[in-house]
Amino acid sequence: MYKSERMMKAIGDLSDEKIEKAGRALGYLKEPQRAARVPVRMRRLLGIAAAAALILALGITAYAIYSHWSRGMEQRLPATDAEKEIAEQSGLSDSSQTVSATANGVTISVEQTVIDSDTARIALRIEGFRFEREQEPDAALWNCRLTFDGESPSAWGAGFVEEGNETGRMSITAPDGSMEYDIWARAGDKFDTLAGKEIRISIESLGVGGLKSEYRSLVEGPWELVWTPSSNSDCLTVQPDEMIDNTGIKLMEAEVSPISAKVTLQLPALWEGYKTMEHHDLQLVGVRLQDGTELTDIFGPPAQERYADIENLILELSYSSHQILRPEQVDALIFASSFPWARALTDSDLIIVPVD
Amino acid sequence: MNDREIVNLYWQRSEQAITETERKYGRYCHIIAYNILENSEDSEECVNDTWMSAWNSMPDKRPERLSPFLARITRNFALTRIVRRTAKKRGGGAAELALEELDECLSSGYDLEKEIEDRELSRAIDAFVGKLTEEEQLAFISRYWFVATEREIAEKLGLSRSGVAAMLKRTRSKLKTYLLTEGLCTSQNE
Repeated sequence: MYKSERMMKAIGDLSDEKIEKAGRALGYLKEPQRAARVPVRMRRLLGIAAAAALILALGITAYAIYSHWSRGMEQRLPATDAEKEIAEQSGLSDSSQTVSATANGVTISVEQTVIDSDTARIALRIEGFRFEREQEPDAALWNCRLTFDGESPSAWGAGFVEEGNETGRMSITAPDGSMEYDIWARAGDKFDTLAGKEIRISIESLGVGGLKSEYRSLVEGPWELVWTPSSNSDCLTVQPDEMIDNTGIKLMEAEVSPISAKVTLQLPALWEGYKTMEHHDLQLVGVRLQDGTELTDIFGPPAQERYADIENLILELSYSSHQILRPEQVDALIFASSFPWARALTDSDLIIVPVD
Repeated sequence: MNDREIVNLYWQRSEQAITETERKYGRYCHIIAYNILENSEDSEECVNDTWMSAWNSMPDKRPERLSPFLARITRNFALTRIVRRTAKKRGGGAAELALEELDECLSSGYDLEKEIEDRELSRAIDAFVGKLTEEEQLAFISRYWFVATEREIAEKLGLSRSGVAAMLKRTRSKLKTYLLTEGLCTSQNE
């Protein structure tokens, strides 16, 4: 037996807790329901139901607004029907675009965008080509370029959407033979806002490889998509300038948008973890709404963690939300420490900072 | 259905146990097998072997939590298959890559089988992982327990791929040092 095989066998004996925690972080295992949070969740659902009933009563959606949600968006930004309709009405979500481009029998079209001032999520639909099963892990769109009003965002990424099929096998090919390619981008320091900007996406070819092997084109493009989607620039901005519990850290400013948030902290001492790509110990994990609902797991690890002013120890943490927020409903921020995303948080873990 | 109810079905020798297990953990076990084997048919066979093994082991076993219990069985079946496959030719696949990365943690020429019991190495690795930061733990277990790719780990943990690769490299180096200090590995120079 090779020594590495013996190592793999020994690693297989890691404790149940460690395996479950990593399984959840990878998304392989669903998060267990937190019994203590059920009433809160119920209140939230009731709130949404009430909002939906009100919308219907006012006749706003009596003619049934079409609120399409792409497969990838269902995974990354799950929402109830009522939330989807509100997102569509507020301009946050846009699935009305008919922008598409075709080359060599393959059509790439804009399926949906969800854009607030700081974060853009774009779902592209690809039809007319199907990767072989063994090619799927290496599927790639080559030389994909993205601009907002002609400028490249400072941070963006993309990938094919995978889903389990009826046998549980993960695949990037949907039952109807189409594929979805999702792109995210952040305003970062380069833009004041991503809202209202013209988006241009160009793709050179579709093929396999890039990470483990040399890229090989299977279908030549180019495809170019240019459009200006609707967006939502609602943002709650507060400057509490107050200590966060007994952490010694001061919350200078917070911005909460529908699918993103940013907090500016003043640290008591220099933290150098950013140099080794570590995360700061204190993190924003959620918000409390005006009706008392605590959403404690809507932010993952920060998308950006940087010193805005290292001499004055001003650290900025930017997040993308897994859930659509209505900024005007937020009445407190919820922080937690010690890599909070990979464990079930209890009430004692949460630090609630009112933002009224 | 919760795990306790499913385990009760196994103890009652009800075939519904398999149905409920597949419904609740089929996708999970399939991902574990597929990460290692990178072949859908082999993965399905591996998952079916898992259900059979669970059926044969309950009773007498009564696992408190099914997910790690089943995950271990699936991983062992998948590794057994990959080891057979690897015996013919090393290199190429995700599991082979993970195996190669781990090679550096034990110095070459060291006959582990003769010098230590498996459980000592297991205990040492569990203790070592327990001392890592949460982020390092997740990256290490994701890579070497679940055989997830660096790209996937980067996406799920919100890190860059190069950041994950660098973190794993540091962790492997620390593991090697730890095993040396624990006397479970000898330096190549000794």
